Amino acid sequence: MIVMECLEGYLITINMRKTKKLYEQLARTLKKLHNLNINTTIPDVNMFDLFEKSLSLLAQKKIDDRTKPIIEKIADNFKREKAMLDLNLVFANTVVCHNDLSPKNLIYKNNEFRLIDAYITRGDLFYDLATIIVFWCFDKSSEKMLLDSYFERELTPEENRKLSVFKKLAMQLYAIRLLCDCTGESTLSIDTTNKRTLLEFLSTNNNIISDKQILKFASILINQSI
Amino acid sequence: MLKASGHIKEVYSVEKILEGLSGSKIFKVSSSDKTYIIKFVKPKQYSFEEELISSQIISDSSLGPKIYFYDNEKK
Repeated sequence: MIVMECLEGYLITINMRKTKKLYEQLARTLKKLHNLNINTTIPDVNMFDLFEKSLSLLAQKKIDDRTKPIIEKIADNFKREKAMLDLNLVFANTVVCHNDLSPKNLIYKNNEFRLIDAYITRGDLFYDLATIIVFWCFDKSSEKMLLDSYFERELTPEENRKLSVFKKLAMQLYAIRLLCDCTGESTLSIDTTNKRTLLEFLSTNNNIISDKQILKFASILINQSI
Repeated sequence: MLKASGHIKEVYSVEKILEGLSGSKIFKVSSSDKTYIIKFVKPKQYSFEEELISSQIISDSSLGPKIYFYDNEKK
C-alpha cells in the first residue's frame, strides 16, 4: 500500500491541445524526467520487452474466436516491425522513461504537468514521445509542436521512421495492456466494427473502470493501428 | 489502520478511482485536512517494489505526487 499526495488537475480541453504553450510545457516535463540523474537501480526495459511481457500475460486470458486472429495479427506485426528496425538506432536513445503517458497519468495545474502511475525504467525516449503523440496530438501540427519543443531541431529520417513505428506499436501495446487488465470474468472480445475515434472516446470517458469500457477503448486503439 | 499510522486523522470519504495499467486498486481518501491517494498494489504486471521505486523517483524529483507513507506488508 502506498499513501500519496492527491494531485487535482484541470481538464485539458480540445482547444488547449492546439496551443504551442501546452506542448512546450509537456516537453519540459518530459525532458526533466528523461534527463533525471538517479542513483537507484531501475530495470532496463524497452517497449519491445513490455510488448512481449504483455502478450504473454494476454495469452493466459480467455479470448473469443473472433478476437484471437486480431491478437495474432498484432503479435506478427510486432515481430515484423521489430525485425525491420535498426536495433542500434532503437537503443541509441536510452533515458529514464515513464512508460505509461496516457492522458490520465498527466495532471495539469498551474501551467505545469505532473506525472502519476509511472513504471520507471531505462528505455527509449521515443516510446514516451510516441505515447503522448497517440493520446494528445490529434493532428500533424500538434505533433510538430511537441517534437519541436522537445528536440528543438528537425528529426532525422531514421528518427521519423522509428517514431512512426513506435506510434503504431504504442497504441497496440496500450490496447494489450488494457486487455490484460480485464477482470477475466468474461471472454475478451474485440469489436472490429467500432468506428469511434480515440478523441471521441477520451472526451467522454474520464474514468475507465469496467471491462466493457476497457474493451471499447482497446477496440478503438486496435482498429486505428492495424 | 491509516488512522493508527498517524497520517490520516479522520476519514470523511473514500472514492474508488481509475485503475492503473498495473492492475492496482486506487482510492481517493478525504480527511479533515487533506485528500490522499491510496494505492493497493496488485503485482500483476509489476511488483510492489518496482511500483514503489517508480513512485519514489517521481516524488523525489517533484515530478509527481509526494509519498507520505508505504507499507509493503499491506500491498
